[in-house]
Amino acid sequence: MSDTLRLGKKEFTSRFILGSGKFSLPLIQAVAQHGGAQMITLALRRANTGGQENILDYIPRGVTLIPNTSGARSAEEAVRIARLARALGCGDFVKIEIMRDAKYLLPENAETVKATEILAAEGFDVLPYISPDLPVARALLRAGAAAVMPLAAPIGSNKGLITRDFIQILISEIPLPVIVDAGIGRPSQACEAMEFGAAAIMANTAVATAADPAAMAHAFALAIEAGRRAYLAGLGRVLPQGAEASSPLTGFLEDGA
Amino acid sequence: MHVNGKEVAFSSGTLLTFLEQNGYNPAHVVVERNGDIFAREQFAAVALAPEDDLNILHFMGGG
Repeated sequence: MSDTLRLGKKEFTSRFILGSGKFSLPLIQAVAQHGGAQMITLALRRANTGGQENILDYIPRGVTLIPNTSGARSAEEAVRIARLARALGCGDFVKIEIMRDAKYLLPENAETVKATEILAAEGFDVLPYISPDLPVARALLRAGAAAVMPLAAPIGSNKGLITRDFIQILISEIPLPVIVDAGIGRPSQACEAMEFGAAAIMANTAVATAADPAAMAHAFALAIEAGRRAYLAGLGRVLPQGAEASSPLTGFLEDGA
Repeated sequence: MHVNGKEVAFSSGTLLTFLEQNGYNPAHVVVERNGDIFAREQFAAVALAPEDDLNILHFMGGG
């Protein structure tokens, strides 16, 4: 059975989106390979002079690049960054990330909707990073987003699925891929989100701050795959109370307990 | 001329020569000049002016 994730104009067999922050360049290569990631996010910043190494040389061939708009504080700035990133020739994807709050790094949902409207109209495949909010997700759907990317917990916190119930509302109501981004700290949390129907998981800090990032990337890949398969298999039901024997309800050698 | 927020001595020539002579790899950068975006295939056709404000950007790690 083929189970692919369609995002924008592309299809993927991996549902693990890897963030490339907080790694040395050689480590990005190892982590991308061990995680089997087919999508990697990048940031755009001012270049320094003097033969610096190019991050693109450390990203395995065939991996789809997803520039983010980190550093943007408004829709206007996010649009500017997205256009600059696209001029670097890496395709039409952009992860919109607009933040003003330096303490919790929570996304500016309203500005994100505005930027999505503009960029989707320009042919970008827009992946908006948001606080999980149903009316905002509906606005993003209308604006032409390719997916929605609700946060599980504050960026870089590794706190896990704090917003679980709200992400589940989006999965239930929004006919777009819901990609859980930010805050996922463990493979088990990634697995759980996939079990309840997330389309993909984005992780960066959980991998970058592990003792062995490459091995952790592999662990995430396995967990995401397991969660996806469980979702497709359909989870078993939960009894509201009581028990139900899995073995015959007879005595071992004789009927009756 | 301003480059990445700093004032630098103006040298006449194209954007491509400026990048090459100042240690930027033209294959890895995108340039915003006075608010307009230029991709690498356009660098050779851009003549710099003393009042230019350039942002020279490239990809780096990010989540």
